[in-house]
Amino acid sequence: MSEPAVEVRNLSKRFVRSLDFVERVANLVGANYREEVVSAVDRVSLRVDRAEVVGLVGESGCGKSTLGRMLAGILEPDDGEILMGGEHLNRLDDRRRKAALLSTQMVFQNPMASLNPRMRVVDTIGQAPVKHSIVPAREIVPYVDGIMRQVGLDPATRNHYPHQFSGGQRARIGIARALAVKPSVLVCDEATAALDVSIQAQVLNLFMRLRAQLGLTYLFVSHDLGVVRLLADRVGVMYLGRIVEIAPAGRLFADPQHPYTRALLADMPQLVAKKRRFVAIKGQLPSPLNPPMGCHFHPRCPMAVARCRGEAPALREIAGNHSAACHLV
Amino acid sequence: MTTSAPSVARVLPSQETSSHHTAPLRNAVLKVRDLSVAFASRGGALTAVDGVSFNLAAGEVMGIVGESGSGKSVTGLALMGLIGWPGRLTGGSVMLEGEELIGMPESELRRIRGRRMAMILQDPTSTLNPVLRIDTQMIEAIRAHDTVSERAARERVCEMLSRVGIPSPRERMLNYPHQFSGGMRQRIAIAIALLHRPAVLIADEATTALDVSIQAQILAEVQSLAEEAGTAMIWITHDLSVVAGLADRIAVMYAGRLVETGRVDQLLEAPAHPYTAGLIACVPSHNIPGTEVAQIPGSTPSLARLKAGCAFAPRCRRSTAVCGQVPPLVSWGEASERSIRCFHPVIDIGARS
Repeated sequence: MSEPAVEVRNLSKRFVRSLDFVERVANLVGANYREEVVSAVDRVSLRVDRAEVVGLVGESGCGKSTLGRMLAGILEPDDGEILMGGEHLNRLDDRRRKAALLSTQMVFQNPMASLNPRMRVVDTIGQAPVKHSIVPAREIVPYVDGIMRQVGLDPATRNHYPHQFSGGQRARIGIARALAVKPSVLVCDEATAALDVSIQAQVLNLFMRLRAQLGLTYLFVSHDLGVVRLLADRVGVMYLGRIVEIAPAGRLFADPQHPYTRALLADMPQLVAKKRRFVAIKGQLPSPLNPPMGCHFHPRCPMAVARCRGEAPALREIAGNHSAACHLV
Repeated sequence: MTTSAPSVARVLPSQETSSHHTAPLRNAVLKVRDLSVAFASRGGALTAVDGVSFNLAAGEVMGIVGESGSGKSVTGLALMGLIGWPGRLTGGSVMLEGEELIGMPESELRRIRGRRMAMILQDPTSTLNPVLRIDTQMIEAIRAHDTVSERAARERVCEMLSRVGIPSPRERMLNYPHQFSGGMRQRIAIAIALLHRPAVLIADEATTALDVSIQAQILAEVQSLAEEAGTAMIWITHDLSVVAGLADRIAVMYAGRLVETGRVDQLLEAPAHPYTAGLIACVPSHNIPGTEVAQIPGSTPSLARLKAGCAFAPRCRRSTAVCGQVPPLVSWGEASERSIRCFHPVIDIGARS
């Protein structure tokens, strides 16, 4: 059995919009304003093994990015535990905690928003490794050159600014920056979503090559089922803050068990030249401010029974490595 | 029905005899000839759309597919007469039901836009006025073209909103755009575009920003509404798989030119242009998990650095010296329903006409 690279247990994140002044005053005189709370991630447990690629899919607002950000150490969870390399993150001393956090890096969707437009590429990539004493400052240029070559960028462009690169090259800069601190885990949040099809193919190949060369572990967050199917060993499906199904990729796409996964796969546009009747999941994603009781999916589920309205199903194993959260499977 | 094995792995041939592919025989509602658009820049004029020609039959759905910078959106805007400075129409003709739109005075164009030809944009927040209620802006859109009472217009708004799947439209039309979700806003934009049952509807990446489940809903609704009203559609997208299930015909654009057009089943089964073949091959769901994706080397050229000749040649494995010239658009197949702009097609296109 392989060892876990990252593991989360019962992780939760809530976003709270607190009352503004007017509302607080109104409450004093008897109005009934309440804080709005969104449970973006709701008691999620997930384990990513070393050198494994786990894909996380779901519609916007399902909490997949929030989960990814907590794993990457950008967001502090409200509840639950994060284990890196088998150790509880918040039980480590400062030095080791820093090292653990450094070993998980993030690649973002929009390179134009995640790269500093006023920084040369050599600084964007080289700042963190110098700061964290991975490379001495005087050796930074050859170090950056090496990483640029690794991700398919021309080192001669090291003094250029982000706007001088094409979309695909900017995506590569984002990857290079993450790789510069020698991480073992990459959290990729819609890392290829903004790219053209032909460029996306190039970047996906880069991800695969880097994984083979460096033995990287990926958590690949994406709404694009085709991309996830291509890259991931295991795929988790999220709905309103919870993982509703998780299974090895081949199994999930061939034999989905949760009604939501089935509907999601049926909606996936396919490159088949045939007029198809688009049929869709009934209704739309409910407001996360006020999620349905019981199973979050029941108002849209064609198979829902009385039990689904009252009782939230737990994620349980239904076959080897394949878990689903549904009363009916 | 037996069809020859598809030449591209996993592109399935149509399973049914295609009753809906008879569209090209009908009368064209839209005839576009040599449409060209240039943008003024410091380095001189950049040609964003270069001699685009096609016909669109009543009720037909044509997909225009291309990557960013291919000129697909500019083509859509040019058809609507919406090219503004520094862009400029440099030539061509757009005939809508026999009437020439190019050179038409703006006042007359305004009577056509929104009534006989409508457009859906990618971002509904840019279509909808944030400070007006939905009913206000929709009634305004109706009364801009039709002389009807406000009450009658309100009824039409209500009906159209329920047709595009807005629940309890009578109450919801009193809301402002920000009170709707992204998918609902796009439905409203579609409802506005369909208010006058236009002859031609142009959708520019209309479902790109939406989740797959919402996208499927919207495609389903647009499909049935357009069928009912006999509306011809131009569906502009970068995503081949969206138009694969929606369109009758596909036109592929690259660097401002149409490089291949054809019936959707033929084009996906047996693409002729190396670029089309490459685009189809690099769709993730067409590749075997865990293996390298087929890829087109290089990236889309900047218009400013476009070399003479075939724009795809620098990325093309088949290019030769002759590609230094612009290949002509040649047609073949029964009724010349396919055309391609390439000297070295990947399939045998028979005797060139």
